[in-house]
Amino acid sequence: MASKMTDDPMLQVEGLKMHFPIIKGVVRRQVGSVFAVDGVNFHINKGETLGLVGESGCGKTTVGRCLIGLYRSTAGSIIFEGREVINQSRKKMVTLRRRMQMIFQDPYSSLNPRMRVRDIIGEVLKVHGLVEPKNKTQRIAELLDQVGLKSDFAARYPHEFSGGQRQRIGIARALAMEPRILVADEPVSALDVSVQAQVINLLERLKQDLNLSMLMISHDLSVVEHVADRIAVMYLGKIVETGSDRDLYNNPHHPYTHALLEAIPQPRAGGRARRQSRKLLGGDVPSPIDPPRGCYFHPRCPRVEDQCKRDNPPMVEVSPGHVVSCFFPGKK
Amino acid sequence: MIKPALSQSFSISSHPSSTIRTLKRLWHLRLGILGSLLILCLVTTALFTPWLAPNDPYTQDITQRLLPPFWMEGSSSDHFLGTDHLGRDLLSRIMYGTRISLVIGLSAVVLQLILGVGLGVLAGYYRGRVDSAISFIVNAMMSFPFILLALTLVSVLGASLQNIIIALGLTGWPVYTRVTRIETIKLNEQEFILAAHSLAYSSWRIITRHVLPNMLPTLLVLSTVEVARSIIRESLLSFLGLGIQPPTPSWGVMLAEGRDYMLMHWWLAAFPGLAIFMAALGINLLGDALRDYTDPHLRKY
Repeated sequence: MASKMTDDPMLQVEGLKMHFPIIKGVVRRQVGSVFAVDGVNFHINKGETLGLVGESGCGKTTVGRCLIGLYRSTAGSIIFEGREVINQSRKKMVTLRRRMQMIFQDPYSSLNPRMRVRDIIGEVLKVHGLVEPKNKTQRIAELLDQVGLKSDFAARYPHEFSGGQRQRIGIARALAMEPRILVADEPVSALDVSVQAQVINLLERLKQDLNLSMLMISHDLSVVEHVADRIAVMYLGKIVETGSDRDLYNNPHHPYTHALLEAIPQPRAGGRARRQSRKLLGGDVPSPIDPPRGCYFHPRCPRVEDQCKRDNPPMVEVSPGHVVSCFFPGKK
Repeated sequence: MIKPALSQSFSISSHPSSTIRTLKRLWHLRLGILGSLLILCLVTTALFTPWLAPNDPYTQDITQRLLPPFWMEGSSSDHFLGTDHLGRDLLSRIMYGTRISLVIGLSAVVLQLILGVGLGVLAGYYRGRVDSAISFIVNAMMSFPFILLALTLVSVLGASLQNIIIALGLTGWPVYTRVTRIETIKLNEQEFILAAHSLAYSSWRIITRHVLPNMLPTLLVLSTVEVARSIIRESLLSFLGLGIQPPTPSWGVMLAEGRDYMLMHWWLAAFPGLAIFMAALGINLLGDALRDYTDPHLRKY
């Protein structure tokens, strides 16, 4: 898989910020902001999968939605195939964003219950003029086949399908746009474990067949480990560590990454001794409305020093391609 | 997360057409049947009155005035439900009144739907200042007594069939706005609407193809109830003398005319009143049945 990859970034995100205003009162005064995404940098190469992991509420989904254009980001730049996507006219944005598509979390709400499968997919083709009208039926069958569904499912309504099948329909709908990048926002977290693997394998296969890049957003490290070439760990609206999946799993440098890996349940003989030696994180994620000063992680950090409470930690490259935002990066 | 769609998924195997399925389910609701029958009577009467009515509703015959209905002493076989103070046949007048009531009920609801749903979707879809402005108007309208507003409108516009429809339309829309606004906000959080945005569909397409079809059941139920309400409100306006003008046979007008003779000739007011009651009951029963049918939690079969 690595051989297929080239080093030219398909997507480059810099300083991405998304602050949601909190508006109160009759005069609609802004009383504060939710710093959902607070300066995020990453890139995705051609044919690569970047896994974005973090706890619920850390801003993973918001990052995905900013990319797709569902949210108008507060600041930052998103360069896709060499062109800036943010602040373009609507028409230009449509053509740019066509090649970035999203796979949604909840297959039970991501399909319009009042449309047949052929209309759900056909609408995409029609609105964007992607195929000649006479070839539409054939293209829909092709797309369904690509995601492993029978073409005679096209006449059915979403409620006649299982969760996994619905997720496949959602994927087919995204593929209809002929995307270069798929943003998969927790694509399997709403599915049964037995079905999760099927959908993950489907995404893997599509990625290879169509040479897609992917941003895989998930809180489940085992999912990300299986799919991602590189992983970015997010905490409270910031990316705290980025690296290849091997670097990150074997050699985590940020205390938060470390804690996340420790928290993976591992069936193993003599587990009790290991369980006792585990260091699990205490406390809760601070509110993104009023994030702590200095390093956002310091209230929960086991290696906290005075400096952490004062200053923002810089991004340090501990080995090629492995970047950590910590004053005291280290193994344990 | 159990979504309505999930609990429907047992009907995978066979594919009877949706109309047949709808009818099958309605069959299970006996009150729904009763409602449907009443509505059927109402509509048939309205459509075929000129052929069904035994007499002309306007022909006066002073010698035959204030005749009682058929089972009472002194009744005439020509006048099944008796005659009013000008000797006009009561049954025929009630039958002609059906037309007016239905026309008013349906047209007023269409007008309310256009205004109310339009504004409600705008408010719920765009939020922000648009929403604040529309919600303010709705709240103002709803805190204002209907009768005062309708009376003012009718007295300014003048009493005629169109103007009553306009008055009922202009006063009845805030309910729809409230309901559609909330429904739109709820739908906007659904991922299929987000998907529609990410697929770069136009707002028009998202509203007409994705938002509106998904609130159709709600609107259907609301509209049936509002048809009944509009019929009652028309009677109310006519009763007060600001609605349909005599001699046009409207149920409200007949009720008002009958009031003066209530003590000795109760049937003059009772039968038009009964007609209003039956119409409203029928429409409400059908509305309830439709609500039960569209709500999967109440669907027991």
